[in-house]
Amino acid sequence: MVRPMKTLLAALVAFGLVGAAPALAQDPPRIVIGPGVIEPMPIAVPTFIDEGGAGEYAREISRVVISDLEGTGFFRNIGEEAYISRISSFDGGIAFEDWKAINAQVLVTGAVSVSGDRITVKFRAYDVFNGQTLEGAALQFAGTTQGWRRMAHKVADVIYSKITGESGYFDSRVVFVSESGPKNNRLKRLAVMDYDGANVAYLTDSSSIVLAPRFSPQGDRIIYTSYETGFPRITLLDVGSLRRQTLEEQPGTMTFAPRFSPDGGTIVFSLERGGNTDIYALSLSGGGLRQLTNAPSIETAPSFSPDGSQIVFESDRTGTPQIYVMPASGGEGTRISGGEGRYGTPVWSPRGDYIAFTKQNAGRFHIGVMRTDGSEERLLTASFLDEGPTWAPNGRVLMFTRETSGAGGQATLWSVDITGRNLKQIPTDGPASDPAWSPLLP
Amino acid sequence: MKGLALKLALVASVIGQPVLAELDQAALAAKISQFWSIAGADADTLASRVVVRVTFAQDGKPTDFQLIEAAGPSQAGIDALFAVARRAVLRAHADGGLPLSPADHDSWRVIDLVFGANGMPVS
Repeated sequence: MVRPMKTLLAALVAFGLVGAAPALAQDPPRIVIGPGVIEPMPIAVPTFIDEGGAGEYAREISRVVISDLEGTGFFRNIGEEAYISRISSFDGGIAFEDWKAINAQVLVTGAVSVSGDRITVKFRAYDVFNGQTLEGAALQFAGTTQGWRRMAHKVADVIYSKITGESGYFDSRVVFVSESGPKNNRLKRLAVMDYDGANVAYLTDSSSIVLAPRFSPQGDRIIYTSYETGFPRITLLDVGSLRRQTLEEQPGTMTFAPRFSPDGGTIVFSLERGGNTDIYALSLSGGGLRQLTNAPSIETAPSFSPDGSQIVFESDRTGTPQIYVMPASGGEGTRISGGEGRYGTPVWSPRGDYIAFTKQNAGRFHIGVMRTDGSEERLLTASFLDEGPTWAPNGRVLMFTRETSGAGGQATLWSVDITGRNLKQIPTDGPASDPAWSPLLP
Repeated sequence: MKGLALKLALVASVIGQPVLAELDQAALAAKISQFWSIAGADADTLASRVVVRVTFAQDGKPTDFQLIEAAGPSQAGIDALFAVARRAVLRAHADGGLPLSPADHDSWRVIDLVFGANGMPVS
């Protein structure tokens, strides 16, 4: 058989019919799959099992895990009414065929136990088609019953991370300005909440206006602008004790737009002195004030790159506000915004890959992102007034303020994915503005 | 393309290894595409490309997956894309089977599938 085949092949080669055909014929066919779809991944999260005294906690933790995952827009929870199998024991066998049949790609099982004020949550996330636990997605967390929502967020963070390859952002807090009263006499106080709007706590009263709160990189301090003295002053707040301290090293008349350096040891901010506003840096461990910009225009809204080597800021030196990048040691900076309109409130992504900003153009406000050299500008939102983006700890989601028009217009908090998908309002008790996302909690 | 397919079929018939017809390849690609979702993929995954060698049983069930070629900014992105690709094939099979004729099993016993998200819309 071998000889005739070789003879035939030789004949085909001679007639130019084959070329590399023998190799092609021996290799498996190669098929390009595409373009694919973008659909939420179907997952199943049966109510976590109560392993002792945890009934309501088990139900609520399951609900928050589902809410976290579905809230990203990347996952679709399969309702329990579709289940073929039930999970009755955390360590029992899994009938994977039953979960495959309802097209669940990932199955999350969990159990909760409570003893006194201590709660333990354990879970496993399975790749249904593989019939195995996702690597690193079988964990347990313990804490106080008061912190049950954090347990749920931690579970969801692990699942999100194992499936998407990105770090999570659910176990995080957002500080914001809670507003009340009429628009011409608005009362403002600092508040903090879970990233999804739950667990609101107030950090200051409404006796003085507060603006632009920012978390420290460790999440233990908040820096903000306060009008407590009648003039804008930068104030430092310890989140644990709520002790406040107005920074003293402020020879100008007004200081505002503060932000921490990535190591938390320095703050940068705008200082108005003699009618001119420039950017300054102040070491929190002593070391004095350093002037970083020196221009007759308004330089403001500084934000460090995550490696601390550069600062992005806003300047109107060309006549309209634009975005510039300079070394952290200061300098003139290089303009990176190039489109039509006015750019402001730039914020460097924690991943270092994008800069988020507010843009005003043709009577509309936008939240957008651009590469750190100004390329690939992408507008994610459009409305009467969108402003002040803040990054989720994983650099995948932005939160910002949206204000409606008119005398009755109200400020609300919204979030959007950096691709422009999954725009949604964050529930708050009343008007809210100036959100700032914390790092992932320890 | 049809000329090339004819040549391949001719050669394959000569040496005894049938090839999967172009129409069958297109049908298979279309079915798997329906279940290939990049929602939630990070930038490294979106920038990766993998070639997955899949072995199929005669009933069309995928029985083995091997990552035989990969390119991308990071191993994590490649691993994530491989996992997504694998799930796409398994889900496509679970959804009523793959469009493969058991009579031609020799032509699709092993297939290399190329997955690359570059150029796919993300919003």
